[in-house]
Amino acid sequence: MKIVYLLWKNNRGFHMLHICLATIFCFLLILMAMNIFQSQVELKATASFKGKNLYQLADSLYNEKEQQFFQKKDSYDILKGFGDYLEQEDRFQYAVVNWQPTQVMDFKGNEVFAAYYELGEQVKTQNFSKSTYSEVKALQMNQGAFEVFQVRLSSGDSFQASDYIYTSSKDQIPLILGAALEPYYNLGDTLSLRLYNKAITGKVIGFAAPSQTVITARSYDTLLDRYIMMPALTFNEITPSLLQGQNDSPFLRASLYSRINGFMFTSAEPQEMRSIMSEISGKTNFYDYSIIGADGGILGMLIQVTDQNRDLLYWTVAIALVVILSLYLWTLSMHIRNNQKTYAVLLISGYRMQHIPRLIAIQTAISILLGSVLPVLLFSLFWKEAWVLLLSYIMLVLLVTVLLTGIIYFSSRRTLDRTDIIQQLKG
Amino acid sequence: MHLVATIELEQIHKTFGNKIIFEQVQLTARAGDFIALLGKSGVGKSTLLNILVGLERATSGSYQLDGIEITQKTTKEIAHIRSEYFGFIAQHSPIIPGLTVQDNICIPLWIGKRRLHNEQLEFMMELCNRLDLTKLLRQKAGRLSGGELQRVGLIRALLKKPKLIVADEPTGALDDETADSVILLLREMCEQGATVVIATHSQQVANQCDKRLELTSTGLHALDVSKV
Repeated sequence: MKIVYLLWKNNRGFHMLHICLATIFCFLLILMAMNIFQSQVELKATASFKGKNLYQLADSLYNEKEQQFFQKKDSYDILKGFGDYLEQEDRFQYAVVNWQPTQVMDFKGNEVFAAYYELGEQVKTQNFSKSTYSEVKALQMNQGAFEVFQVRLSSGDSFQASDYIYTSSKDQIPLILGAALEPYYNLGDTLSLRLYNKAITGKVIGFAAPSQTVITARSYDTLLDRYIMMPALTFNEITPSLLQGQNDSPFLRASLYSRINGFMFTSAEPQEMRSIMSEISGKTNFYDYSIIGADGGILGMLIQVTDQNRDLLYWTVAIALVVILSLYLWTLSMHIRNNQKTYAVLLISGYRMQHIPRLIAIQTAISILLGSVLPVLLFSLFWKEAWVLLLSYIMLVLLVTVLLTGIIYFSSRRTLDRTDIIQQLKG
Repeated sequence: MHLVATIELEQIHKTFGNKIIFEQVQLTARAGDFIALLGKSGVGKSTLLNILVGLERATSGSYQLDGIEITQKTTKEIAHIRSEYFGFIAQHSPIIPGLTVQDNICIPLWIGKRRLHNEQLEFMMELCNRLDLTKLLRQKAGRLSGGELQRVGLIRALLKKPKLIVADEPTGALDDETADSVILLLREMCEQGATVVIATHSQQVANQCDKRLELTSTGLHALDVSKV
C-alpha cells in the first residue's frame, strides 16, 4: 500500500482527474439505476391495464337537470347505490381519482403545491374563522385506484376499508401525502381541511413513494408527488343527520358525485360495456351519465411513450458511459506511457512485470470507489426511502469496479507488453 | 536463503529473434570480486547485466548463483532474489519524478515491505554525504540533473547492502572527482563481501577494477591491463 500511496503522490493530478471521471461515471450509473427502477415501477403500474380498454364515466347532472334530480326523495340513495354497484362490479376495474383541490389551514408547503401552480398561479388563500386556508392539490381516490395504479407507500399505512366510509360522527379522515410533502409533515400530523366547504380534520397516515403517476380527468400522467391523497368517501346509509348541517349537504352531494366520475378498465368492447352499464342503471335507477370511451390505443400509446422515454434515457446514459469509459481508458493509456520510468524503478527494485498491471488495476479500483462516494452521499440524502435502489447502486458500483478493474488489468498488460521497459533501461 | 553471491555463467547464449547477440559466455565471480565489463557499443553488455540481475533471461545456458540454477527459477522467485540480494544501477538511472529524492532512494525498502531503520537511515545519510546529495533529499527528484540522478540510482541500489551489485556505466554522467568517489564506494562494498560487476567504456574506471573482461559476440575474454 505504501507503493500505491507513493504513486498517488507522484501523479496527484492524474488521479484527481480519474476520481472526477469516476464520479461522473457513478452519477451516470445512479441515473441508470434510477431509470431501471422507475421503468420497473411504470411497467408494473401499466401492466395491470395493458391490452385493456379505458372508459371514463361522467355524470350529466347540472343546472336544471341537477335540481330536478335532487327533488326526488331517494336521490342521494340512488347516487350512493350507483356508486356502490360500480365499486362491486367485477367485469371491469373501477378507479376513482378525483382531482379536487382542498383548502388546508396554515399549510406548511411552498407554492409548488398550489392547485394551479403548473398554470403559473400562486397559492390562493382564504380566511375562515380568523384562520388562513391555502388551496392545494388533492386527489380523492378509491381502493380500486390504489390497486389499478399500484400506488406504493414509502412509509406509513394504506387506507383501510373503513376509511372510505363517512359517518356524521366521524370528524377525521386519513390522508396519504405525496413524496414532495415529506419534508413538511410527519406521520401522525393533523391538517385542518375545508373540503367542499366542510371543515374536516385530516390525519397523515402514510407517504407515497416518489415518481408515481395516475390517470385523472385532467391528465393521463398526473405525478402524485405534490398531492394530498384522501379516500373517495362513501356512506353506509344516507341518514337524516347527514343532511341536517348547512354544509353537510353540498359535501355529501359532491362526495357522491366524485364516486361516480371514475375510470373503468376492462377488456369489454364498447357494445358490451354499454350493456353492462344498462344493467347497472336498471338495478340502481340512475341513468344520468355518459361513457366516454377510449380504446386500448390510448393506453397502448401511454405504455409505448413510457417505453420510448425509457429507451431514450437508456441510450443517452449508455452513450455517456461509453464516452466516459473511453476517456478513462485513453487517459490511463497515456498515463502508462508517461510513467515508464516509474515502472522501471519498481522493476529494478524488486517488482515483477506482472505486478505493474495489478498495481494499475488497484489504483483504478480505488479511484472508482472514491468517485462513487459523492453520488452515494447525495443519493442517501435525497432518496432516503429508496434503500433497495441504494443497495442496487452499491452492487452495480461493485460490479462495475470489478469489471473495469479486470479490463484495465488486461489492457495495461497489453500496453506494457508493447512498450519494452527493460529495453529502455539500456543506453 | 543466505547468499554470498558466487556467480557461475556457463555457455550463456542470447538472441533477439534471429539475431545472435552473444554466445558461449562463461564467467565465474566470487564474493569480493570487482569486475569491469568492456566491449563495443551494441555488443550486449547491458543485456548481460540484465541477465545477471534477472531482468532478462538467457536464451540458453546455465546461470548459477551460489550453486542455485537461476534459469529454472520463476519470475516471482527471481524478483524476490533481486529485491533482497541484488543492487542494480541502470545506465540512465530512472527515478519517480513526483517523489522526493529520499522517497526514490527508499523505494526498494517499501517494495520489500520494510521500514527505514536507524541503521539504514545512518547508512543512507553516510552515502548521501559522500556523494553530496544530503541537501537534495527533500527535493523533488524531477528537478535533478543527470549526474545527480545517477547518484540517486547508486544510493538506491546500495541502501540494502546487496550481495551482487551490477552497474551499467555508473560514472557516465559524472565528473572525474565524483566518479572516483563512486568507484571507491563500490570498492568498499566489495571489501565488505559484495560482488560488483560494472559495464564501462572508461579506461580510468576499468583500471580500478580487479578483473577486466571484454564482451564480444563469441563470449567473454579476459584482458591484460596493457590492452585496456
